[in-house]
Amino acid sequence: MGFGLTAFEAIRRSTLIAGEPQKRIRAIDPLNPFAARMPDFAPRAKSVIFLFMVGGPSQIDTFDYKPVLQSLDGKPVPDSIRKSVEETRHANVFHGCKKELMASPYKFAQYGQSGTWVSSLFPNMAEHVDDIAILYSMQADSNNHAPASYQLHTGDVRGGKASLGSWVTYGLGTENTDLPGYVVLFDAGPLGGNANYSNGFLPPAFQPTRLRDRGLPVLDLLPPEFLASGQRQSIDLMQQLNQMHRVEHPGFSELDARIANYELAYRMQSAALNVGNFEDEPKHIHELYGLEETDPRTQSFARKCLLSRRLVERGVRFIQLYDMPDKDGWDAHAKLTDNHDPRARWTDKSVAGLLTDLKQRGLLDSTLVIWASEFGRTPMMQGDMGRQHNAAGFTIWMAGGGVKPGTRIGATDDIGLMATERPVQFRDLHATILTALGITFEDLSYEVNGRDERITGVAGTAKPLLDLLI
Amino acid sequence: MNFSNLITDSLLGRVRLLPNRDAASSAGASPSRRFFRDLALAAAIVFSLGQVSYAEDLSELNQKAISILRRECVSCHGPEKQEANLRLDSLAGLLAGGTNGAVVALGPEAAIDKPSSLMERIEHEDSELLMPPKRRLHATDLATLKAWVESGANWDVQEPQNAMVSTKEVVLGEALFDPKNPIRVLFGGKRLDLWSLKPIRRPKIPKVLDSAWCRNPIDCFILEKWEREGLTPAPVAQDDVLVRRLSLDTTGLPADHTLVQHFVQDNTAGKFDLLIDRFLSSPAFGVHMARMWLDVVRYSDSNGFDWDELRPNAWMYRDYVVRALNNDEPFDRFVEKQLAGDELQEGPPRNTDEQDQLIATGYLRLGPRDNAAGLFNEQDRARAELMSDLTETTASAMLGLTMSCCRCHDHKTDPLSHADHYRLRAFFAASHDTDEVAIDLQDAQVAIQAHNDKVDLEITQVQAAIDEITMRVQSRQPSKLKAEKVREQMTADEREQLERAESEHKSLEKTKRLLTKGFVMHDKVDVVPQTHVLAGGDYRLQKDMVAPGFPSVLFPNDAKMVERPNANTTGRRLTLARWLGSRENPWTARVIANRIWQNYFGQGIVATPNDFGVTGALPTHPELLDYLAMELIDSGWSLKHIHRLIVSSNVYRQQFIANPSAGNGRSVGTLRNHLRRKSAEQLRDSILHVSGLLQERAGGPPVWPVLDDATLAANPAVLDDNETRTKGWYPSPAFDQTVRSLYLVQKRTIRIPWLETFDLPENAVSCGRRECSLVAPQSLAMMNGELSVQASKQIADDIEGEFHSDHRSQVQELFRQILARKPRDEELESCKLFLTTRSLVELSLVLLNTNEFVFSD
Repeated sequence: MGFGLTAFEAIRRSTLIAGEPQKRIRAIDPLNPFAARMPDFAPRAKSVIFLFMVGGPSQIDTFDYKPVLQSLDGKPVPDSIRKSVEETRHANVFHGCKKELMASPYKFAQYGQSGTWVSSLFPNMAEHVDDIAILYSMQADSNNHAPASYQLHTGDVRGGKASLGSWVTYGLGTENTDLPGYVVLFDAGPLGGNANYSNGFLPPAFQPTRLRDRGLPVLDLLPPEFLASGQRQSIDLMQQLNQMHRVEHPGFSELDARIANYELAYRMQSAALNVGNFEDEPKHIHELYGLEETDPRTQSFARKCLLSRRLVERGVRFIQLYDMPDKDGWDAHAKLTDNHDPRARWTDKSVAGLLTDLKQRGLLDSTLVIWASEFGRTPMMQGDMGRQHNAAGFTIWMAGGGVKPGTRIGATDDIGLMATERPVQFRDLHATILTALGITFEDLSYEVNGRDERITGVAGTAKPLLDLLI
Repeated sequence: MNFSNLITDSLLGRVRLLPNRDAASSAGASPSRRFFRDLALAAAIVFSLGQVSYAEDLSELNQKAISILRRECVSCHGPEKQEANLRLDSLAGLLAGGTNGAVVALGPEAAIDKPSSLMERIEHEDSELLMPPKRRLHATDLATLKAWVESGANWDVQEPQNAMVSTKEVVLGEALFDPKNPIRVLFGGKRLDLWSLKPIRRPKIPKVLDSAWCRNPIDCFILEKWEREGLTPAPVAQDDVLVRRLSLDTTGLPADHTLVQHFVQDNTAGKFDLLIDRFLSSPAFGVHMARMWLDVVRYSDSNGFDWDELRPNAWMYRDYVVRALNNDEPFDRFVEKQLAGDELQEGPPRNTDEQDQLIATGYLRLGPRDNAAGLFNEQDRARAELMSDLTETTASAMLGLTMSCCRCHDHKTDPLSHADHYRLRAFFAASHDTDEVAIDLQDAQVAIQAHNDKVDLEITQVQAAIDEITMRVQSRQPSKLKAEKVREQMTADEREQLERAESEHKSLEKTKRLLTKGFVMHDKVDVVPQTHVLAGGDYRLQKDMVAPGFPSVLFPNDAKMVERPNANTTGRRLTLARWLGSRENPWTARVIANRIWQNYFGQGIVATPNDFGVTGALPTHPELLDYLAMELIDSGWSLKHIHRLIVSSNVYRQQFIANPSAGNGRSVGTLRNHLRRKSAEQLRDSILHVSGLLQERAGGPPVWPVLDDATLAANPAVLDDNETRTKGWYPSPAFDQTVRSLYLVQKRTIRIPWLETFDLPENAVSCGRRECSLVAPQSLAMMNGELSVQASKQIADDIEGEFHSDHRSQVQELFRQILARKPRDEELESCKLFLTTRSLVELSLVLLNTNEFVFSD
């Protein structure tokens, strides 16, 4: 190991210092930005797995059962509903749709002690309804993918702001510095790209690391083969040269930090390889997640879910997992069933498996799982048996760390078009997530061009859903 | 906070709940019932206001009372804090009351209810209960509030600053002192002592004890402070360090070993000045400095959002910036071209300067653009966001003012009103993108036109031949044939003639030359949309109309428009540009001078380069900043003059000292106590440079690196590319890949991972200063990434070819090439030892990974 030791010592010490109670969680040591920081109050959850169903799965075909809609198939939107929607900022939800409603082609049934309605798309998730909290009344500020998606990730419909994962790792650091604190998993990313999960204006240390569920988990993780055998020797020589350079430049802690980073990177190599190696998982776990299924897309999503659990187990703070196997995601503008049937099949078992697995390992209590999308879909038909985007009212669910099982929040109108009972905005969701993590959300801010930016908005109008939390 | 906003809010939002609530009418027992009753009242008031032509009759009493609340109460009971859950910044807040119940009761309720607790607390005898805490309001304020509450606490005021700003008849005098200045009115006379409002004055050069230390006035400003603080200036760095530093700071590239050696051995007295000349006139200077400006104006080659379409000609703007900085275009002209070049241009450009006038307006189009918004009937929202983004970016970039707060309400800390955002925005109201303006020089356009005319003439002849054949065939027919049937009736000869003519027609069409259409902005003069203050920044909630105006704290009147340069333009942007580049405004020169300083010291004289406001940093050396700003203006806005001044100073030459106060009790004066890691671009360019892989290139369309599929999938739109090829990723040929980083494509939704790892900033918003992180993934990229491995191979190949297996020479050459110096004995021995078991490639890679290579000193 040679000369890296002093730097190790420096890192260890700074971790200890940063681990002591602090008044503000914002005191970031630039040389050790990931050191775990004390939350503001007792956290309900330590980690987050955010399952993002890109493209807008339909609420009225999954969780938000509407018997009235079923009876109005082919009929126009009732006047009273149309009028009340047209008076709001969501009037444009009719844009691009037909006048006629389309009943859900899926059968709904009641599950669990709670008797919660779930459609035939999600038979496995349905078994968990008593564990999850369902929010039926989400709203977004834009009816288009990228702006709505940016808003769900960053709190702002414009790109360029900091994402939730960056905010959380900025606030809390991470429990395992051998692995990145904020991990992003996807095949194709969310619509609107990189700006969704960016660190934005937060220090670049809080940018996410993309892990791949196949091949090398991290870009440039390992040297090309011809350099591999000599890498340790190379690092030792380099550190030797760095130490000589350091003597000429006494006292510059940034030099020490970079010296330490090589040792950290070296450890990261084995930690990342290890987390991505599923061979030590027993067969029943493979089956639970759906890794044994024949459909490669099911396997691919299953791998990401299992990887998420393994990351959480190792103390990774925030995992943003996208279901986006292709360019469309859940964006069913035409032929709803052609779009939703396979996508449900590719994801249902793995999501349910993840919940089961977290629960049986006792990890669910400390892991907040969120299943969400940028918006839902209209009860009006679009094109040939499709549905348009719907930011006026849609469903998401949360489970685990701090979530009161079985909570039901809000409701849409009779046809599932607009949230009419207790509409919830993304900022409220963000405030709730931060609260579950033990962060005073109003205090989690960062000054940008003279103003304290918060993910919950500068206006201070976010309201955490306290009744959803334990 | 903005009063009429909240009225509008309650009108549009909370009040609408009423029809669903039965509780509304009952005079309530429970708090929630009372709340709804209050809402009902609020609604009644607001609605009745609506009937009696709202805010037409401005009540002086209301306005005074609200000013008092705002001045005295709102800091604790307002948008920032809600002590006792109470807000006193809106009617709704007032009526809703707080934890301790209602604070005023209005209308018929007033008599029944207990007296106003607002007044009770303000007048309270018990100092524990008195509001504001432990402080009694002035008697006249008390009287005003009392009268106001008794009169029904009407909130029917028009936003005061709007009323004044947009009142054409009122012409205000000396802004800061005019009591009618809206900013004075709004903030109760506060916020006017902000340092950056003060006019720029040429400061006296301070007297210092050790005047011999000062190479130019900059040193005097710095040294004077150190002498006062009892600090001794840190020693000047050695020659080799200086060459390396100057090279990296001015060109973004490391100095070669030969240059370092020559400089060190040179005994000429003015050798450093010669070196400065050399670097400042190097074409690489503009490439490096352009990066700073492109960060500030959030340059990107694409739109952002869902499709992130390529902007095929945006690179022309990037090249213009490089060109202008290399030519030392006066900064006022640089700003003028970008904001209003098109307004000055009539007809095709006659020379490259005029051409740049058009190209430079690309600045106005750089912001993220949501092209999909129209599909969802959100084009108005998207346009509003585009406009506020342009306003905010211009304010940050040119003025160091933060205009994002006052998009929605009066600024929380700075002397900027809600209306100020929209007054600035109004300068852009007539602007429209155009992809139809040809930017070729006039001569070229004439030549292209002449050529195309000639081709057209030939085409006419060929067409005549085609027509003739068709006619001939038709004339043989008993009745007129349909066009597609004509061919069937031709003789073989005729058909051959026709086909020959048709193919000639086609090939002639192909010889036509296309005009180059620029990425430019122009004005639409027929209808200039009115600009309104928008409540909460919401484009649907229009309030008062405003005319273009500069920040009203100094310029409360509407801007006086310059004469329209021609009939196709409004002159609005030109008015703004002329003002930006004038001595009148105290910001532009200071802001750019500070950015230049930051380039050399890592931190500006003002540490927050985009924020010269109250929450921004104070200048560490205000007089020095003014000195530089005046030098800039008086030199005819020559940026290179400022660059030269700074790098000629002694301060610039000082050594880095980590702990200036540590050691033998003598404290050291230095502005350099943190080593700087090279930026993403400097580091990549350095690696390419020392390995000889760097391609010289003078601009042109962006170069697309080869990225792996997994990275490209970051935006699924790539999978959905179209015929016009705007959404995909189009890797450039291998030999193009090693250009300077400035020329790599800069998309908004897919970012080049290597650069991102080294802190490439988000390019959707203005970045005034790069953050610098030191994280483990950077080590992975440097050790294992293709760039450093490829460079190492190249270096090793070159050296191996020259020095075969002579390890000593190899190591020496490697140090010379990568670190621009000779190895010390100890280093030489360690490296030689390494080479006994490992390869030269690996040793190259080790050197590229050293702190010495990655940090600059």
